Amino acid sequence: MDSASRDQVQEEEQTSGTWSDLPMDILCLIKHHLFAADSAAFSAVCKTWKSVPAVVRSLALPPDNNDNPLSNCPCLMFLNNRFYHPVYNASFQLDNILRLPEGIIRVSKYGWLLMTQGDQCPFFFNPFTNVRIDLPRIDYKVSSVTFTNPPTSNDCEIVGFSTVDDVIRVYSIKRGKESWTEHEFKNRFCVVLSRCNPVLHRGRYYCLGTKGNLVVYDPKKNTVHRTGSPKHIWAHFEDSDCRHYMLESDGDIFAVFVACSGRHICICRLNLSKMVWEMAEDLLEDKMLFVSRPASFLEKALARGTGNKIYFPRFHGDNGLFYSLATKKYHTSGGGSCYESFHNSKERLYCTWMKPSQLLQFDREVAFYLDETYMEKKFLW
Amino acid sequence: MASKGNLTLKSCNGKEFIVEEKVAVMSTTIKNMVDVDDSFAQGVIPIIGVDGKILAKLIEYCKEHAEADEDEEVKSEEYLKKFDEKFVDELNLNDLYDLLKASNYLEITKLLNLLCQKVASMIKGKKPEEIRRIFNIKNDFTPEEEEEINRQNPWAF
Repeated sequence: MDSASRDQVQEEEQTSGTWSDLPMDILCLIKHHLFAADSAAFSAVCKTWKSVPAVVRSLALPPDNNDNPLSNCPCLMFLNNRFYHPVYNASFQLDNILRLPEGIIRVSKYGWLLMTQGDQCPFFFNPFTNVRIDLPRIDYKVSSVTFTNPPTSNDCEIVGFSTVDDVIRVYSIKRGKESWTEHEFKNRFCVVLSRCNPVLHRGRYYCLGTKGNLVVYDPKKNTVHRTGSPKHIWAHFEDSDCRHYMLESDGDIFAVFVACSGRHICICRLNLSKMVWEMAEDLLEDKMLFVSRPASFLEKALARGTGNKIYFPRFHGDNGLFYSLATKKYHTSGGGSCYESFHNSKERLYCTWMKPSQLLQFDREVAFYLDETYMEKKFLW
Repeated sequence: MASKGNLTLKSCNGKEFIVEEKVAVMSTTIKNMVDVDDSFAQGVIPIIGVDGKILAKLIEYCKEHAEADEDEEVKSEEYLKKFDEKFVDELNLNDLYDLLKASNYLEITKLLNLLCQKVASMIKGKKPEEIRRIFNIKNDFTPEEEEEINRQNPWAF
């Protein structure tokens, strides 16, 4: 064959190959790099591309490629050292983490977990270093609690709240102290605190009541204020099953109310000057909202189709559940299904969303202690 | 014939390339051939279905990466990243297609992954219709099937 006719053959070969019938291995690899809406768009291109099987991702570790925006995705952390990545829709384990101690995760902050064993034995646990710090016993049941700094900081203070009949109780303890300080305030309006943790904002603690009302505690002045229920903007606060989440983002305080098995969802922003809730449905446009009891927060959308959604610690089988504000429906990360409510899904109680910055963080101070003195990984408060 | 440590690769349109063995064995397929049958190491290795232009591109890529693997100081990660970016940016759609198939056949994993990432980046943020236009793909769904797809993933579009 002379070179001209060879080139001709080559030319024909080139035009005969089309992108729709690339070998399946290659199509699988391409799809592997696509997530959420991009993956759905890929499957909607043609029949061959649609036949590429759903990517079953097994993550040995969280994705750590710097170019990969999904390495910055919050993950749901379980007590058995499983992490769930909501965009990959896959679980993974971290080597340096053992099983977490028995108990309930109350707060997740700065890479630390504030946990309780029973109601009265609180302790801090750092899942990344396995360091445990036991705290003095507390004699009352607190409904919501938070802390101000990592427990290795001298400024760390834990503040907990409870309401019993006509009394609001505030419990607090500073690092190094042997017992809890207790303050009582009259609960004239009989606010019942929800189990949603308080938000600390400019030195004041904002605690959410079950009816959307607020108790605001100022530790400097040692005073408590309360606000009324915003029933005028949302009627479903009365639902006994209503779930509450609160978070701070960019200097604003937000609350998320979820009622009637998720059929009704309300996102509010606190107007700090008037101290009233205002609807904030526009909040999520390009953001992902992660809600769980120990920690709720907002993150910028990481891949197309991941924004304007609320990610719950709920599952349909192995598939994570999220709520889309655009469709006003629930969908699973695996794709394919729509639900009006979350009532057929399973809520996972012993877990918390973890920010990516916390995922692989190794608290330097702790690392120092570990090397120098404390081999037992047990610290004193 | 190639001197010791070198291999001769022959494209499907008869072009021959003499390359260092460490460059050629970036391809798992070639490595297996050389490992199993010594005569390949002496003679000419035919690369079926890959023309001279594409083979030259493959060798260009493998050369950079083989050298970097050998001596990290000469070619830093930063340098390789820049090289990779430039390499895929300069490809036209046909070359990208041919290189994908060739790197898959020759099992040059790093390159295959790089190319798949490139294709994925061309898909990201686009609607199915736009993707079809870019890759010149015919929409072979019936209207009913299309509706079904939209119904299944309403949050995505």
